[in-house]
This record gives sequence, structure tokens and C-alpha cells, in this order.
Amino acid sequence: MKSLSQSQMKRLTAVHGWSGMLLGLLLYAVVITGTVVVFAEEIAVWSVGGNRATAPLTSELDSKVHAAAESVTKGYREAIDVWSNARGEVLIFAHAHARNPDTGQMDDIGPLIRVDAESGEVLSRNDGFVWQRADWYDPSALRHFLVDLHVQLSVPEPWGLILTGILGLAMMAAGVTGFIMHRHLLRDLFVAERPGKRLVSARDRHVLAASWGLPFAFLLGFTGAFFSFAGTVALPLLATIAFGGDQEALVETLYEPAVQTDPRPQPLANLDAMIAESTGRAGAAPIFVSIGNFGRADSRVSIWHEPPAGSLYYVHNLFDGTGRFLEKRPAIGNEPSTASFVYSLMGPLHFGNFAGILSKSVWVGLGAAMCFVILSGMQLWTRRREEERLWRGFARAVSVVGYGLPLAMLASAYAFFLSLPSADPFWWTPAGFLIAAALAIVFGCAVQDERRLTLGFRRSLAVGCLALPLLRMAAGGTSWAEALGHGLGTVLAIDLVLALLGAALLLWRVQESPRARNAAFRPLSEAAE
Amino acid sequence: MTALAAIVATVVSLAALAYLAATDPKRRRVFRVAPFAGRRLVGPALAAVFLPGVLLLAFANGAGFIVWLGALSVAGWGVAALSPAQATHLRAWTKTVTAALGDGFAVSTERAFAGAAALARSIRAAGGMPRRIAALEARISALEAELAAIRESRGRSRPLPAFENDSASVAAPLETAERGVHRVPRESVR
Amino acid sequence: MPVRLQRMRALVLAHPIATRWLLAGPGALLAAVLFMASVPVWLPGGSAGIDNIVYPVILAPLFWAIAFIYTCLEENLPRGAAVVSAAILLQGLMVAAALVGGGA
Repeated sequence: MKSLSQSQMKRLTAVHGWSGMLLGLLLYAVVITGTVVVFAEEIAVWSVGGNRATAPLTSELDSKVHAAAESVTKGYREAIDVWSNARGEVLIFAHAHARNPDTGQMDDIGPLIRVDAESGEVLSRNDGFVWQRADWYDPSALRHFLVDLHVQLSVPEPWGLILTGILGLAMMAAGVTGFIMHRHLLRDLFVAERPGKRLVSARDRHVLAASWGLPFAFLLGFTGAFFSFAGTVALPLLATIAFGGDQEALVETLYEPAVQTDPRPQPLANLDAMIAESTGRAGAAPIFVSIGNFGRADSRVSIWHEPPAGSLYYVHNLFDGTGRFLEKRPAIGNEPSTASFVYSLMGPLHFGNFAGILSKSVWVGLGAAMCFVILSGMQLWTRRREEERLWRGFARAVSVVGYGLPLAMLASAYAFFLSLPSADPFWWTPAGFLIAAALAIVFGCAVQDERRLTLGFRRSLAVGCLALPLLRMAAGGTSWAEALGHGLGTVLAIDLVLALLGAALLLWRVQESPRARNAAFRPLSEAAE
Repeated sequence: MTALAAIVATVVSLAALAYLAATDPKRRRVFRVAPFAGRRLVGPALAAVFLPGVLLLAFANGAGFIVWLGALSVAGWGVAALSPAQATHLRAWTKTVTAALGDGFAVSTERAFAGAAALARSIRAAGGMPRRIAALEARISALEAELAAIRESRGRSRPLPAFENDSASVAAPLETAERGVHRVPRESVR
Repeated sequence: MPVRLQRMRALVLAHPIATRWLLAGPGALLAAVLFMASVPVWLPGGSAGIDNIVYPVILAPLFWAIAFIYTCLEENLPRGAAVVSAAILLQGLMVAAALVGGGA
């Protein structure tokens, strides 16, 4: 690469540094919450006490869906969506489209029926604009809050999405500018942090983590920006340009199969048989079923499956109302294309959920690495300016947010479990987060000694992690004996992870002073190698 | 299968990265470690880093490839972030742990190897058996011819030769045949 | 060079910092948004009829990154201003034509 002039290097350093400083804390919030919600499904299952139902979408779904369809008015049979929640219950949402008076946008409206997967008993029924009421469709207020915190920093739509989209762009820009600035990236790829806690050591720490995480930092920023801007900016704009403002027409072109209208009544074929055939074709479990125009000759049944082993992509099979397999649908559009292939990569590359626990664990590692890059970058910046009071204060803010945010997320879990018996967990979970965040800020302002501050935060986190499984069980959650007996591995696994995290935090020593570190360092002899 | 392939690929690539890290000249210079003595095999090491990923793609394991890439980013950082001192301590600790766990394993492995060596020797010996049998048969024929000649000469009142001499004359060719049999497997082993 | 262009060049050179902020900030953003809006006008739909919608949505963040880094690195500020302005103008005209013409 052509070497940069001094002015170019100066500009890039300023852009990289200032964007990191101004947006770093918010970016850290997005990344750390993203790291946690890689395991959103597992957190939901753990928080509601485990999923006892085995494959709810494959156990006699036909009778349940038919019963639900018979119980709703004809207008709501335009689309019937079926999926299972974290408790293993079946959710059947029969809906039409109407303009939501609260948002002014077209939205899904209809009855949402929650059914027991084994007995078929109707557990609850709620009518209205369902997606506005998370408590109707999500049994885990904790999962809902954490995902919302990541996706839009709990800021109302569309501003929250635009904010996280900007942060995605900032992450991309930081990655590219850092890459251009670091001329000896390959040569320094194995240079660990130099001992002595000097300024160059702080630089080494940041540069090493950033260099190794660069491709994925760019990728995750890029895909994150895509997801944030797609619904808020891109699709409305393209609907205006290409479809005269008709967003519904745009969505139909992109996602819905072309069907010739035929309103003649025709009973829907056996859904269980279709799901069984679809599962055989896909080689993976079904996760979502959508029935268009239930009870009509032009009915279509879409069945989505997990990515089969070795593949990145969800499988979407399409059947007609007679149960005949029509086609394997591309992710977008009506036939396979390069655009569809590229589009179908965005989800797996961002969420990391294409290969179960293995890919999710790797994504957690990547997220943790990125958190380290962000925090170490801000520490490097403030260390270079530690003579100035403003930057010393900012360094304190970095410590408070660095520890305080995970502590606040932990507190939201506590608030969730404590509110379960008699309060509204959808209100108390975010409230718990805010209360803990405020307390962390007060603690950060009150304690002057950096070492005491770090120790206090780590111990709080440790105790929080160790006690959370106990609180979960005390609040009526599944005990370990029950979890073992019913094979509820997720519940046990998350409790174990919390216990290990807590233990690790307790054992994590606070760093010694630079002078003490220098005294401890001795050069190695070749024989030791 | 995806998981296993991705894990194996990551381990192989990581081992190669660990080698590159341990022998990296700038890293050794920064930590005041003497330069790596011997030839640094950068090409083969880089091939070992990237080849597992290429193979995953070649076998249409897209998910495994992405997992490998991600795991290598994280684990590679982990390997590079260890200082030479920390890496040495980790290696020593790993050796201690595997030694403690593998003591019994090592002993039984040793015994297994000794047994295998003995079996190999028996097989080699058995492998030389046909030649030995042929040599013995030849010697028996020669002895029978000699006996016939003696019986004929008895008819002409000649004393019999001493048995010791016979046994010595029998033993010597046998010994030669044996030595020859043993010599052949040793050469074949070489 | 025409007088008007000379004046614009002088203006850019007189305010280098403000110009660079304008180009890298609103300039790059506007160029990326117009890129997304103008691609459906000229890109064919492809075999599935969706290329002209899907590609601009996916590539818009990448286009922004390219525009942003270019405006940071470009040493010749008048040239940088000209490139970004031309991109905005050209793409804007395509979008306007599409809107006036009733959609792409």
C-alpha cells in the first residue's frame, strides 16, 4: 500500500480517535449487549424455567391450527403464523393488515392464541396489534429487554435503529482507518503487550486485539448497519423510488410467492404431513409455519427450518393448500439469484446462530474481543492525555461504563426474577437495569481510588453471577434436580456459566502498579524456550 | 460433523499459529529473547494455517468455514497475546497436567509398545520360517544320504562316525541357517 | 477554468477544515443515501427481478465507508469536493427523474 503523508496520517488518527471517543461508550453498549444476546434463545428458555416440550411444531399441529382458524373471523385467515415460544408453547397468530393508529404504519392485527403443545388446551388469547404488546408473545421479559437494548438501545423506533445504524457505520470506519494507519499490521501480528504498563503497552494491547478482530469487526459493523437501516431508511426510500411509495407492494415483491387469486373454498391439507415432508427435505427441524389464505384454493403454506448441518442458511419450503410441495424458496425474491445469496449471508454472519452452540460460542468470543478493543482504545486515548482533568474524568467514565453495564444487565435479570410472582416483569426488568446503572455511576463518582473502584465492581459482578441461579430457583424456577431429570440442559448450562464467571471474577486480581510489574519482569534465556 | 471438522481445522491452524508466534523475530526482539535458532518454516506454517479452511470450503462446509475463521480470529489473538514467559508457563503447566493425567497412560503405552515389538520380532522370525524349513529339509536329505552311505559301508565292516561329530556337523549348518534367517529380517528391518 | 469554478476552488481552499467536515459528514452520507436511491433506476432487476432493490440496500453502508474514507484521505481538496459533488448531483438527477417519471 502507498504510504500516507503526514497530513493524511494526522487526519486518520483524528478521525479514528475522536469517533472512538465520542461514540465508543455507546458502541461498547451495543457490542456487549450483542455478545450476550447471541444466546437470546437460551436466555429466554433459562429465564422461563426450561422448555419441556419436544419439537412443539411437529406434535399434532394440524388439529391445533384448524381449531384456532375455526375460532377466528374469516378476515383474519389472510395469514396464519405458527411458532413456538421459550416455554415450548405453540403460538398461532391469525392476522390481517391494517393501519396502526399509534404509529401511522401498516401493521399486523388479529388474535394471538397461545396453545399447550401437548394437550392443545388454549392457554390465552389476545386480540389487537400484537407486535406492540411484547407480554402477549414473549414469555421472557428479560430476553425481550436485552435484545431491545442491543437492537435500538431501548430508544423508540425509528431513532433507536438509526442510532445503532450510525454506530455500525462508526465501527466500520474505525476498523478501516485503524487498518490504514497501522502500516506494520502483519509484522506486529504476534507482538504481545510489552511489560511495564507503559503507554506503548497500552498501545500494544489495543493494536493486537484490533488487528486480529479486524475482519469480523468490519463484518459485524457492516451487517449491523444493514439491519438497522434496512427497515427504517432503505426500504421506505426504495418503495418511494421503485414502487411509488407502496411499501406493501415492495414487501410482496421481495418475500411473497406469486399466487393467482382463487377465493373458492378448499379445506387445507394435513399440516403435520406437510411439516414431516418439509423436515425430510430440509434435513433440519421446523421453526416457523405461515399459512396464507387459509381455507381457500389459493392457499400457500411456508415452512421455515433451521440451517441443516454444514449450511449457513435457513430453509424455506413452499406447499400449496392440497399439501403438494411446490418449491424450495430463496431467502428473497421468487427464484434463486446472486442477490438472494448475498442477502441470505447477512443474518448468519451477524447473529452467528447457524451452527448451534459452536457458532454462538465463537460469536461470543468475537463480541468479547471487540469489547476489549473498544475499551482498550479509549483507555489508550485517555492515558495519552492523563495530565488533563477532562480526560482523567473520562477515563473514570470508561471504567464505570465498562463494569457498570454488565452489572446493570445482571441487575435487570434480578429485577426480572423478583418481579415474576406479582409484578410486571416488562416494567421492572428495564427499571432494574436503570437503577443499577445509576448506582454504578454514584459508586464511580464516590470512590476516588481506582483500585478500590475496580475491586468493588468485580466483586459485585462476581457475587451477582454466583447468586443469580439461586434467585432463579427461589423465584420458582426449575431446580437442578428437575433440570437433570427432564434433560433441560440449557438451564443447567447457563447456571454453570454464571458460576464459572463469578468464580473467575473473584479470582481475577487487580493489576499491580507499573513499578511492581517492572520489577517482576525478567528476560528469558533461550534454554527456557 | 460440521462441529468436529471445524474444531479439528481450528486446532491444526492454531498449532501452526503458535509455532509462528513462538518463532516470530519481532516478538522475540521486543521481549529480549534470543532469535530463533534454526530455519523458520514460514511457508509450511502458513500453509498449515490456511489449508484447513480451504479444505472446509472445498468440502462445501460453509458453516464450518465461518466457524473456523471466527474461532481463529479469537484464538489467534489469545495465542499472540501471551507473552513468551506466559507461553512458557502455559506449556510447562500443560506438560505437568498431561504428565499427571497420562502417567498410567504412558506406562501402558510403553508396555503396549514393548509387546508390539516382541510381536514384531516373532512375526519377523515366523516370516523367516519357510526358509529355515527348507534349509532343514535340505540337511535332512543330506543326512539321509549319509546314513544310506554308512549302511552300505557297514555292509563292508566300516565303523560308524561319532554322534558328537554328527551333531556338530548337523548343528553347524543349522546354526548357519539360523544365523542366515536372523540376518535376513535384520536387513529387511534396516 | 470558468470564473465560477475558480471562485468555488478559492472558497474551498480558504476553508479547508470546514470543507472536509462537510464532505466527510453530510456529503458522504448524502452520497450514500442517493446511491441507494439511484441504483434501482439504472441497475437491471436480474433473473429474479430484485437485484436493483437488494444490492443498493446491502451495499449502501459500504458505499458510505468508501465515500467517507476517500474524503478523509484526499489531499487535493478541490478535487475531493468536485468528486463528491458530482456523485451527489448525478445520483440526485437520476432519483429526480425516477420520481418525476413515476418510479423506476
